[in-house]
Formats: sequence, structure tokens, C-alpha cells
Amino acid sequence: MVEQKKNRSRVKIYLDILETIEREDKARLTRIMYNANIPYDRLLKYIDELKQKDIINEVNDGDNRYYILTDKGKEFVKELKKIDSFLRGFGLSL
Amino acid sequence: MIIVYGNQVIYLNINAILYVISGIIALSISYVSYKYNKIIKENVLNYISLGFALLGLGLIIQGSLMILLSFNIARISEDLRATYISSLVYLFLQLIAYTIITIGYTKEAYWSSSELFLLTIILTKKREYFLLGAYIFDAVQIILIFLLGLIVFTGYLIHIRNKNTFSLLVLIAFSLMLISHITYLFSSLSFSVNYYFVANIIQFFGFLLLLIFLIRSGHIGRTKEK
Repeated sequence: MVEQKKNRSRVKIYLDILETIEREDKARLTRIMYNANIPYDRLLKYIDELKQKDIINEVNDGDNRYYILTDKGKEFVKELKKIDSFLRGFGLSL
Repeated sequence: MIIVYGNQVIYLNINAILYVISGIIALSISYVSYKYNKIIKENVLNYISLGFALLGLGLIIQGSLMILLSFNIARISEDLRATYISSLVYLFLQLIAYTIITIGYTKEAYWSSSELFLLTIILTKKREYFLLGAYIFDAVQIILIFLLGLIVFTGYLIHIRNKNTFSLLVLIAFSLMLISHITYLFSSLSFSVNYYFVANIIQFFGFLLLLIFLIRSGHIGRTKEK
């Protein structure tokens, strides 16, 4: 079986972003960019989508801009982790 | 198919209960796959969902009929026709289910290069064994053993690659189902109700492992997997 490096799915990118925010409690854009390994312009697009879906909130603290998970976001992360572990049972991943 | 002699009612009841519980577990896996597929749109989940739905349906039909028969054991010979038809339905549902699961499960591992080759093997084998005519039960068992063999082999490759508890649980579950179908075949060849019962128990433990997998994977948000 030839091991092939698959591109990350959109859902996996969401999960990487949300897990960074979850770990940090409140995360700055640069931290998310670094941990989730996404270029700045694409990250902004994903962040916008997540904000529109009410999964994350933007918090301004002086000059700094942070992102935090909403309650809906916390539930969404839990659900994505469940899906990921279910998929791994069948040799798949997000 | 099961042949009931004298006081085999207890066997019938226990077998029926094992079938029904296994069926419920299979339907739960089907439902979870369906639910997750709606969220992440992963095609393989469709195969898993449909396969386990058919498997669950077959198990519940077979189990329910056994329960009905056990209430009406005096008229067992008159109900043999119904038993035969239900067993056939169950066998063919199993056959379709495992074919679907095999296609979905192995798709991830091989299908990029040898899609048609695998399908050809499956179809050729099916045709080959259906020629056995009257020995439908044995023929279907042989195909199921072949399909489950493929699933287990793929599961092993997947586990070697991923090395996680979840893929190990699924691998052991399918391995138990493979062993159970080998035992079903052996029970049929040796005309032994006892081996049939043993096969049912092994199959039940396979489904039980799938249930453990389902519960553990459902709680991963709270407990971290090792």
C-alpha cells in the first residue's frame, strides 16, 4: 500500500483552528496561524466563516484582538472530535 | 438456518436474543455513520451506514422470527417454510451488507489503483459459489468468509498504519465475525447445533466490541484516547 499524503479537508482545518483556540482559551490570530499551519489570507477567510456561524467570537482587548469559542463552538469541537475518533476506527480521518 | 430438536427452545431463545442485540448494535453504527456523514460528507461513511443497516435489519428479522418460533414451538414443522425464507433473507442481507462494507472499507486502502480488480474478484467469487445451488447457506458463508477476510486484512493494514485503539477494536470485531462465519460453516458441514450456537456467541462478541468502540469514540470529547 502506497502511503499518500492527503490534503487537509475543510473540516480538519476548522478543527485545527478551533482546537488552538480551545487550548489557549483565547487565541490571537498569529498563534492560530502558527498552530493550525494556515497562511494568513486563508485563515482570515476561515475565521470569518466561523464567526458568521457563531462558533467563535472576536474579543478586543486594547490593541490586541483575540478569538474565543462560543458555547456552540465548544459543542462543535466535541462533535468533531467524536467524528474523528469514529472515522479512525475505520482507518479514515477528517 | 437452524434445525430444532426436542428441547432446543433455550438455544433458540438465546440465539434470538443474541441476534436482536447484535442487530440493534449494527443499526446504531449505521445511524452514527449516517449522522456523521451528514456533517462531514465522507462517502465511505455511506457504505458503512448502508452495510450495517442491512446487517442490522437481517439480524433483527432473523432474531424476531426465532422469538416467534419459540412461542409456537409445537408447530415448528409448519413454520419451517417461514424459517427457511427468513434465513434466506438474512443470508442475502448479510451478503449484500458485507459486500458494501468490504467495498467501503477497502476503498480507502486500495481503490486508487486497483478498483476494478477488486470488484472483479468479488463478483467472480460470488458467481463461482452460487453455482453450488442447493448449498446456499454454505455458499453464502464461504463468500462472507472471503469478504470478511478482505475486511480483516484491510483492517490489519489500517491498524499497522494508524496504531490506535479505535482501529484495533474494529479489527478485532471484524476478526471475531470472520471466526464466527467459519464456525457457522463448520456447524453446517458437521450438522451441529452446538457449533451454530458457538458461532452466534462469537458473532455477538464481535458486535459487542463494535458497541464498545461506539461508546468510546462517542466519549472522546471528555476522555483522551491513549
